[in-house]
Amino acid sequence: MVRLQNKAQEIRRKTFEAIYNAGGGHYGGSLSAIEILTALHFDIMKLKQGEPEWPERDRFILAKGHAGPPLYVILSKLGYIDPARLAELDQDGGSLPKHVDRLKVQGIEYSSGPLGQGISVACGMASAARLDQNNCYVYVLMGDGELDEGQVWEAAMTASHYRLDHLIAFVDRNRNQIDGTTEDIMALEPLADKWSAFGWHVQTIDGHDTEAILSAVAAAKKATGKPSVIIANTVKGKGVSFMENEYKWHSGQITPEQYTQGVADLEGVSKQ
Amino acid sequence: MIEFGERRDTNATYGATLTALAKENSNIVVVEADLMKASGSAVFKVAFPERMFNVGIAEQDALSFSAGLAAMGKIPFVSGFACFMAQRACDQAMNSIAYNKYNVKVVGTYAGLTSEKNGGTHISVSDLAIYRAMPGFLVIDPGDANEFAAVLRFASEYDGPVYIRSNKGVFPTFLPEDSVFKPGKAIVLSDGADVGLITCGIATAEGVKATAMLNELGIGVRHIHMPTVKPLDTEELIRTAKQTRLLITVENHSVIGGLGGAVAEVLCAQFPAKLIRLGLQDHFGETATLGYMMHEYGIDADAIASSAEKAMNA
Ligand SMILES: Cc1ncc(C[n+]2csc(CCOP(=O)(O)OP(=O)(O)O)c2C)c(N)n1
Repeated sequence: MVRLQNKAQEIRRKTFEAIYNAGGGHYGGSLSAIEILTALHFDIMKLKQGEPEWPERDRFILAKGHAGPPLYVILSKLGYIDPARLAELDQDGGSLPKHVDRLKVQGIEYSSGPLGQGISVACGMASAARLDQNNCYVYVLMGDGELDEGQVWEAAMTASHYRLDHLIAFVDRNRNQIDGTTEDIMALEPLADKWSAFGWHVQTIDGHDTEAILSAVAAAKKATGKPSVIIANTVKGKGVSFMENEYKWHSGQITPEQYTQGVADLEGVSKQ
Repeated sequence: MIEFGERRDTNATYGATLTALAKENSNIVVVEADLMKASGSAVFKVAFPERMFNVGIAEQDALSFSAGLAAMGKIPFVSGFACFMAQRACDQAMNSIAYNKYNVKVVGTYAGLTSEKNGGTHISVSDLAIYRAMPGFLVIDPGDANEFAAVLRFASEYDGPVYIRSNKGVFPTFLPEDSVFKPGKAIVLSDGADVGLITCGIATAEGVKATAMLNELGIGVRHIHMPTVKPLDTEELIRTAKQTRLLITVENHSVIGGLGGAVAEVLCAQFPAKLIRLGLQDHFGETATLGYMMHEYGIDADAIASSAEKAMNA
C-alpha cells in the first residue's frame, strides 16, 4: 500500500512537471485525481501487458477529459506511450492533447472533453459487455462540477434501470469547479443522497487514500444488481501549497518561482 | 417514365428491416428514447428483447450510450425525432460519436414536414444541415421505403457514423424493392436538356410528378435523385449542370445547409450555374398536414412545375 501511495506521489510530481512544461494547463483537477487514477491503473483494473486491445480488459473512461496529463503519465509508465511524448503535451502538432483522445493515444478508451457524456458512454459499454458475457468492469471518473450536466442524471437513471453492476463511477469531489466552489455555483449536497435516490450503491471515501480506494472498489463489486458510485473527497490542486482548494487554479499558468515552490511542496510530501 | 409501385410504410420498414438484419448480424442493437412507436422498432424488441435499449426521454444519453455500445463492437441503430437527434443531442453526436469515430447509425424519425401535426417545434428544418456539418457523418435522406430499407442494410455493413432520415408515412414506392444502396451516388430518373431537377427524400416523388407535368409543356427535365446529401455526388451534379439550362433543388428541409446548400457550395466552386433552391425558405413548419405544407412551402409537384416553368420563361 505504501508502494501505491508512493507511486501516486511520483505521478503527481511528473504531472505537475508535464503541465508546467506544456506552458500551463489544468493543474487543479489533475492533481486531485492522482490517487484514483493510480489505484485504478496500477492495482484495480484488469489489463494485459503488451496487449492493450485485449477484449476482456477493464475499461476506464475519463469523463472529466481535461485531466489528461496524469493519465498520460500513467500510460507512459504502463508502456502504452513513449515517455518522451510527455513533452508534446498540448504542443502545436503534438500527439498528446490535454483532453484525452483515443485516436491519438493508445490506452485511452474514449475521447472526452465535453463534460457530462462519459457516464452515458460507460453505460453503453457496460451494457454491451453484459450482452457479450464479457465480465469486464467499466470505470468512469467524473468531476463534481461535471454533475451539473443534466445528462449525468439521465445516465444515472439508465445505469440503475438496467442494473449495470459492472459499472463503477468515481466522483472527484474536490468541491471546486471553474467559477467557484461547487456549493457556491450550483450546490450538489446532499450528494450521496442524490445518488442513492437514483438507485446507486454509494460510498464516500478519502480520495487521496489508495487503501480506501481499493476497499471501496472491492465493496462496489460486492454490491450486485446496481451500479456503484464512489464519492471521493479530494483537494483540488492537491500537494501544491498555493493551489490547494483554490478554484482559480482549476487551470492557468505559473511562474518559474511558483514552479520551484510547487516542486518543493511535492518533494516535501515525498520525504515524509 | 418512372412508375409508382406499392405503397409502403416507413415505420413498418424500419422494424422489419432491422429485425431481418439482426438475424444475420448478432452485433446489431437498437437504442430508443421512448419513441419506439415512431421509429417502428417494437417488432425488433419482440424478436430480440435483450438487444433493445430504451433509455427513456433522454436523447443526449441515447446517443452517448450508443457510442459506448459501438466502442465494444456493437452496431447500434439509435432513433428519435429528427429534430431532437439533431438539435438536442447535437453535441453528443458531434463528440461522443463523430469525434470518436464510432460506428453508430442515427435515425431521425418524423423527419422534416412529415412530423405534420406535431407542429413547428417538432418539424426538423435543420437536421440535414447539422449532421452535414459534422466531420465523418454520412447524411442520407431516402426517397422511399424500398430505398430506406436498402440504406439500413448499407449502414449496417458500413463502418462509421451515418445519419439517416426516416420520413413518416405510407408512400408509393418508385425504386425497386431489391435495390442496393450506393452511398454518394445519385440516381438519374429522367433525362432532358432544359431543367436539371435535383431532389432527395420525399421531394423526389414530387419531382417525378413535376417532371411529367413539365414534359407535357415541352420542357425537358433531367431529374436526379440525390439521397446522399453528404458526400454529394458532385460528378453527376456537374454533368447535370452542364447538360441543362438551370438547376432546381427540392428538399423537405430548410434551403440553408441541406441539399440546396450543398449543391450551391459545389456549383460556386466548380461550375457556376443558375440555381433555384426550393424548400423551407428560412422559416419553421407549422401544425398542418404534409400535403398542405408541401404546397404552401412550394415543394409539391405543382409548385415545382410552376417554379420550373416560370424560370424557363424568365
Ligand atoms: C459541456 C462542457 N461545458 C463546459 C466545459 C468547460 N469546463 C472545463 S472543466 C470545467 C469545470 C469542471 O469542474 P469539475 O467537473 O469539478 O472538474 P475538476 O474540478 O475535477 O477539474 C468546465 C466548466 C466543458 N469542458 N464541457
